[in-house]
Amino acid sequence: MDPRQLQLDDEGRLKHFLTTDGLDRAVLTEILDRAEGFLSVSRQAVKKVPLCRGKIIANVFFENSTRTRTTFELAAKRLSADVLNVNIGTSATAKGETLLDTFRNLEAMNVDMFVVRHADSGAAQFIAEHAAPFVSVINAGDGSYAHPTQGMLDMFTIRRHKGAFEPLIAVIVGDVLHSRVARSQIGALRTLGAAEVRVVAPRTLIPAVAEEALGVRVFTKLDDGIRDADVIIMLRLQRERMNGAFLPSEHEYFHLFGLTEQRIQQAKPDAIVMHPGPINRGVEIDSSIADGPRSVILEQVSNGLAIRMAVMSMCIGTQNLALAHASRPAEALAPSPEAAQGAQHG
Amino acid sequence: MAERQLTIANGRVLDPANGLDQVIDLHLSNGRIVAIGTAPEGFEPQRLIDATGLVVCPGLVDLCARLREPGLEHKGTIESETAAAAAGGITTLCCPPDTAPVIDTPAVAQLIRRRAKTRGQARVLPVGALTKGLAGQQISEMAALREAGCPAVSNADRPIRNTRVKRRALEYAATFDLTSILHPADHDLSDGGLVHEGRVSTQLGLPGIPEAAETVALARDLALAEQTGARVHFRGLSTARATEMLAEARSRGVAASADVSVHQLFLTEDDLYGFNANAHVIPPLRTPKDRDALRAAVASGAISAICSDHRPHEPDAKLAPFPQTRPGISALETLLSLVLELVAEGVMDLGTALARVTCNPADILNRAFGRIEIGARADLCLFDLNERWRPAPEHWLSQGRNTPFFGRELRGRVRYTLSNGRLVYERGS
Repeated sequence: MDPRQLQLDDEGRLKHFLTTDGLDRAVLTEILDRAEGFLSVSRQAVKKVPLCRGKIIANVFFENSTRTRTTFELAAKRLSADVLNVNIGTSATAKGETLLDTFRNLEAMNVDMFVVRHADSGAAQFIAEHAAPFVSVINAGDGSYAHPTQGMLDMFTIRRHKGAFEPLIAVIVGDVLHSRVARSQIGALRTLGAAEVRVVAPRTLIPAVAEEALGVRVFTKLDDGIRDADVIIMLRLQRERMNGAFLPSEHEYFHLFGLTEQRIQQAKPDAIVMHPGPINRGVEIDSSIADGPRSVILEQVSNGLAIRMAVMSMCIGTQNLALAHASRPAEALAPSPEAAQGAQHG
Repeated sequence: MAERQLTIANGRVLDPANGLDQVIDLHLSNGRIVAIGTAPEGFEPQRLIDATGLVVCPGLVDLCARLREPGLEHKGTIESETAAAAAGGITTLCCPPDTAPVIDTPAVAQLIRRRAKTRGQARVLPVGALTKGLAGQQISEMAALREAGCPAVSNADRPIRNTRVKRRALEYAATFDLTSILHPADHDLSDGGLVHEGRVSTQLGLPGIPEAAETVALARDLALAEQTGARVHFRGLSTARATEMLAEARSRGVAASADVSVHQLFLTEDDLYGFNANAHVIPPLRTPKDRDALRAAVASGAISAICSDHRPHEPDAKLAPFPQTRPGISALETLLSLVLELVAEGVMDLGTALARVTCNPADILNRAFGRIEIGARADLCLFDLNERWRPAPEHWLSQGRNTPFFGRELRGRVRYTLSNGRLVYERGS
């Protein structure tokens, strides 16, 4: 199903957050604005707001994750929701239970929101298509497709440092081919109006027809790619890529694509350096840069909390409106058209 | 029940093999066509089908339809899928050898033929395995498979990675005048891939299958065909480049033919947006440019057959995140209508289109099906060229409901199908 239609209700309010694809600038800006408001919550003596009180939010992670799951959990708790952590790992399918059965079981416990991480591209969208009415799905990373809260927390970090997106040159360095983070960042940067989005990597890690498909400029030399950049995003290089035919060695990768003090001179003097973490020091980035004045890497983590609170509260708010609407006596409690259509698939 | 004698009156009889296209009566007796035009002396049909306004063509011949029996009966059976074939005007179909067990012994081939005879609504020709267990290592007992009724041999879409084994397999098949049906795919390039490597794979973060997966394998197999002189047929081309390579080889006299899955003539990678599992097929849907080149190749005859590439699935096989879904479309019941759509869109004329699903595929098998001739078996399809309809689950006969064509308006629909003179499908107007 079309991701815009799936993610927004009839009034254009966010119902699920699965991808930055199909969402227009107004929606993305609303997420950023709302996150701005939540930043102050962390600085209060009582770090809670009651926006999701009485709601059950389940973190359903089919892939291991500590950091992302922890920030989602904390975000839900600050919104006063009850949190379930369901670690399914990779063994659930081995037991023969289908993905839909897993979610039907959780739905039977009256969960209001699923935060889902899954190894398959499109998994979050699939779950949203089949979710019961008044249940929201937030994508915490699916395959190589999308990781939209990471993408938006990066936009939030950029906006806090740079203000407007229009004049910016943003550069993403590393394994774009396998990166759901890169896809969400690129989508968000383009929707928010960044002047230029570049990707830099050896050709083995650049996806097919990237310029046309993603609307980016492709560079294979780091010095060229970061010239005059305002924002430099280093992607994590997964170790397993070294074993295949993608790269010969960590040594050669760092030599050609690692961010060093010398290389960063090509960028604008006030350029910021970002990394979604966890960092491989000495593979993607020199420690002196990761810990240096341009690095905003730790800020990204705290901003992640605000973004996740923003997205969760927006989706729950949309749900509450729909529930109020549905409980009016004149209105029939019909399944949403999304759920009905989803059920006809297959 | 079979009427011993039957007349099909006043239909537009269209037989591409014989260049016949005229409104004329057909008279059938004991499963065969006995007269075209005037009835023979003393002919007394038990039934008369009024074919006024209908086209009468040879029953369709489909080179690739998975019936799922034996081994995967939860997806389909010979009974259910041949009933779907009859509803689609298909009277002869080849099932690839990747059943469970594999069709690498006469016993499995005979089991399928026997079951098709007792419960089937269409003729089923089992394609034998090119290698034992389809494992790609040891050639199969092809002489015995031929004895058991296999018209061709194939490794389905399993790899024969060792080029020497492939060469020997083609030579051995040629010894018994068996056509070798090859799926051009370099598995080292395609393994792990899900969709065409291009714009959509990049946007959706799905692993891609490059064009070269097809062209590299095709180049290798064309070289082997040329060297050995074996008759090879390429199953399911999907790229523009492959059609050029094939046409070039044929112009040099290489004995190679090819077909295309009918969905490749209509769908492209764009149909995958939204992670549409019903558009998950192997080989993958490619670009509009590839689709247009495939259409042109079918029109020119470089690709001489159109297949349903029928792959029925149980609902759960498509009800999962895209990478976990099984590839394939349940396609028997839309084959003819989609072929007629090509005519309506001006891609080719009606006679050419029907040739691609009747006599041309029969020629690839070296069998005399797909013709309307005196003495020929009465395998016939009667269809209304102008009836508009929308495929829908309510009137679907295949056990597999996995099709992206539900709800799409199609032109042309089967009214009657006769197999061996027996009415196997009939639908009121």
